[in-house]
Amino acid sequence: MLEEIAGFLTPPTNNFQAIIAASLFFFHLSHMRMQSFLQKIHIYGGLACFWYFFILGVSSLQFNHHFKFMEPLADSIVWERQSLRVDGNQNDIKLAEAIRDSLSLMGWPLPWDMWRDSSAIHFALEQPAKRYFITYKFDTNAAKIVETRKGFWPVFNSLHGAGPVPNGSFTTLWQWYTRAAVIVGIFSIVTGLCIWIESNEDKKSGLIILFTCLAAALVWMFKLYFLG
Amino acid sequence: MNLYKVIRKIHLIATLVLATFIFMYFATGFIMIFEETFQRRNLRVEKVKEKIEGIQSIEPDSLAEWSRKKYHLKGRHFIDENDESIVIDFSYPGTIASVRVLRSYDSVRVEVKKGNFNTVMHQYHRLHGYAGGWTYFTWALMYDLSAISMIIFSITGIYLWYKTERRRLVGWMVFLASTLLTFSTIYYLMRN
Repeated sequence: MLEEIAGFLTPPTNNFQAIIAASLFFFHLSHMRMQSFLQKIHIYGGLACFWYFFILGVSSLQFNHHFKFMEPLADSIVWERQSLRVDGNQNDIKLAEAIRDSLSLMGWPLPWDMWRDSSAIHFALEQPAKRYFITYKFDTNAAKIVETRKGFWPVFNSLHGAGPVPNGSFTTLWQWYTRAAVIVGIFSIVTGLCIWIESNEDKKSGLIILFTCLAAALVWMFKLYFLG
Repeated sequence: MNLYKVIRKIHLIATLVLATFIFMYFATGFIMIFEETFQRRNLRVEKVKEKIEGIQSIEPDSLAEWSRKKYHLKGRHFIDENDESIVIDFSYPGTIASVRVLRSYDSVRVEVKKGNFNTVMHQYHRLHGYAGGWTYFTWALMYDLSAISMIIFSITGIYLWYKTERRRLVGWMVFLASTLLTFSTIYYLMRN
């Protein structure tokens, strides 16, 4: 590059040579800027997403192995709330959501764990840290809640792919963070490979490893898709 | 070779070996996160119901093999048995099949669902566990390696940043913001 810059600084013999030299100079300049820009994205993007990548790694291992120490705890307490104001003439899901809102709880009512009889509606409400089982009596407008705390690890692992929890407005921030982190993750792989290619570090053996593993992974995916 | 070079090498080799897999997990994760845009749906649903004499007396494992051959089902299978029925779910990326045999009748119900591209991507992303033969075993192994490499990348990435950058204030601020967000989310979920 220095030779090209030196060439550029020497008086051009004609206009064409001057244009070529100027183009080369600006190309190198923008190339260097681009490389530095990619490096910055890789480093700062990686730092911003450190915890998400760490959580992805740990939670993925948990999904594959179901470690005992990470399983939800069964630490339950029971409490009651009187005089709730909900309209009982709604379908089960709407009613469960209204009860959840009047109890100021957050979470998703589970349709497969919900039933109604003449005197009450019974349903489970789930959020990453807790599971509630709620019985709401129509005649007294009272709710009995069995609250089970799951402990730290289920919450940690739930951040792998958590959408916003109903009534949990703060969790929307995490949803946006995960969206950004997935995009940064894709960029980090691409920019990491670009930085490595530019650096010429173990290029030949690295390319062999990269393409062998790429081919093997693709063959594996196609094998699963076509042959099961 | 000093520690910096060793860590840099680990970071590089782990990327090269697992780049495709990790890229696949991020790309399929992207499709999952933006599900409103990339919606899942079934391209084809096939249902079969037929009467087969004495089917309820067949052992679940034999029943799985029998239904695999008879209905040309592929992928790994899981058996769920109870007093009323035997349900065998077959699955591989793109296709899910369910075979249901009621103990009180000599009949079998088979439902095969073939999903669209987005469904296939979801299923690649969610495919884990060592059961189902050597194909799935190897997949689960790659899955584990990808998960471990995610942990290695994050930790070695921090080390490499710390060693290469002289001005670290911005880096510390970015890292602390991410730490604050993560732990305040955990705290928020556990407290509410």
